[in-house]
Amino acid sequence: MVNRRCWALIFVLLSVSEGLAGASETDVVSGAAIAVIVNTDNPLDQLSLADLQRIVLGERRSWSARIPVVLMMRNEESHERTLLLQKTCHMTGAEYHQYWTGKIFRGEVTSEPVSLPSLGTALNFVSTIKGGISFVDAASVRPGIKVVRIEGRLPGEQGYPLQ
Amino acid sequence: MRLAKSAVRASGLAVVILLFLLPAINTVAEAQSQPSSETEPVDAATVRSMLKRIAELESEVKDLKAAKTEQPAAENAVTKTVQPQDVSPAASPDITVSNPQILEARRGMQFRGFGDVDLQGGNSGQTNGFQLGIFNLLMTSRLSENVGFLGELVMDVSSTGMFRVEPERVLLAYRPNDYFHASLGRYHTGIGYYNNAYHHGAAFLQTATGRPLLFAFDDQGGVLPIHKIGLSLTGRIPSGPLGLNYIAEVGYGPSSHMGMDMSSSNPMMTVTDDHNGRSFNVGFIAKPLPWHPVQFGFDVYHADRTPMGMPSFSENIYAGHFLYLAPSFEFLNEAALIRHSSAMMGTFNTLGFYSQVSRKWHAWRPFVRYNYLNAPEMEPIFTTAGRQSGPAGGLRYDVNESIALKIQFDHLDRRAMSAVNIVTMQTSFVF
Repeated sequence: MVNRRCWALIFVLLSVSEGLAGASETDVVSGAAIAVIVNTDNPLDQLSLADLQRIVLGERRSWSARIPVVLMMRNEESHERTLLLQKTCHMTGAEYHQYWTGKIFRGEVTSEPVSLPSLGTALNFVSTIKGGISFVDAASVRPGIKVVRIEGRLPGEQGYPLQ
Repeated sequence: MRLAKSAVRASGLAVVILLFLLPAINTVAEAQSQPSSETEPVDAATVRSMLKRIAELESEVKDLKAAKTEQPAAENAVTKTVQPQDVSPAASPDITVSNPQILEARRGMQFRGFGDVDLQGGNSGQTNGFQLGIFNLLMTSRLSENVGFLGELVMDVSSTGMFRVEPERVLLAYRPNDYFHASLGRYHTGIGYYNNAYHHGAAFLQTATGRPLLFAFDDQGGVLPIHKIGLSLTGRIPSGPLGLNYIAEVGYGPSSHMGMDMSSSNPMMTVTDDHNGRSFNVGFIAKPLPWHPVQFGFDVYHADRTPMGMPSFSENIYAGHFLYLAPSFEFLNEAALIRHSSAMMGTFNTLGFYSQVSRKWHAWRPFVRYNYLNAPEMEPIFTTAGRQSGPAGGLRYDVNESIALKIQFDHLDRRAMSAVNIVTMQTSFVF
């Protein structure tokens, strides 16, 4: 009986602390909105935050039967990467790296997603690769790529989740 | 006369020069005649705008220079890390066709290593002191657009103190899309969650220092069949927010994997089957989007087993799991019922479960786990399993992305035997 009470108490405490400490685990990052960009040939127009999370976590790996998702993250120091991981996966960069190490170990993937070192590279690759998806500062979006609505909203609109 | 002529020429030249110089002199004179009060405000505004423009141009030049220098680096980075399966010819003909380095990277092999060193003390019967854990070499390679290879080579120390090397997983995988993923070779069965989430040498990836009692490796005395040679199919089921996934496996398993009975001369199958009985495993996993990060599922496994010197048994395993897997909080619960049936000897049910809770605060992650395993006293295959149960608790500290330190205390009550208390300190790493 004592054991059961101890377990119940531990679980309740940890569960409560999850809600309280969830935000403090990663420093809250905010600032300029980041745009989710895809190739103009991609028929996708919008994504839910949950779908975006599955893409970022490598759980959704194809847009359709013929078009694979080509996830192109930004480099580790970038604001876009930090904000994206926090808003979609509630992860730090280190946790994200560890997550992908686990995926490789389980045989689900052969390597981590490519990390693009600059804004220009992200824009160029997304405009080149049909299944490409990347994340850039919303102010840097240029013609020739498509900005995806997240939860029905574009960057700059009220309630846009990635800002 | 000549002098007069030269004088005229000189004067003419002077006039011409003067004619050219006059406008310039006039301009200078006009400029000098302008009041200074009119020039100053114009210059200040111009300077301000020019400074602004210069700053803009400098910024643009900086960006262009950066782009110019980053371009080769970016190409190299992509060459090294882009996933071949991610770039189909239809998707990006320019890259796949025109850049042979990308194609070369597809066929390259990537290595990852995992290892751990333990310091253990207690009354388990083992000597106290440092222990070399598992050294795991994981190889992955992309053979074509949808075909990949995974090899897992484990080096550890046997009970006799000899090093042994074993290919724990050798898989040829075909994954055309999210809905169909076939793996052929030696794999870990999809029974439960822990078995597929943490393979050999996963000390760094798992929260605790070791696996739950229920999921101990079958070649190390575990009760569940972990290794199989055969075909494994997994994938998503179009189910919208339910997030359903399936597992279907057919494997040629060991006829008599010994479970806890390590005294047998029939060891765990490593190369091929020793009889013609197949094992089947079918399972479903749900990851409902509205309940994210909750995951639950169940498996049904069947195999025929023929332990040496015994009649054949029908082995049925029913396993279920319920998980809450957030980055900073995990709550793992798994249970399995292992049912051995024989017409001559009757039916024996072995029940096992574990529950684990951990919470992460920055680099620190305290955890607790409860293990339970209960095999009947007369269980013909798990002859030494008996009843074992008890709590474990510890603390994990992530030094960085690649190194973790852990300390764990295990208490295990055993039927008709004295309890075991063990303290383990572990350094695990990935490279």
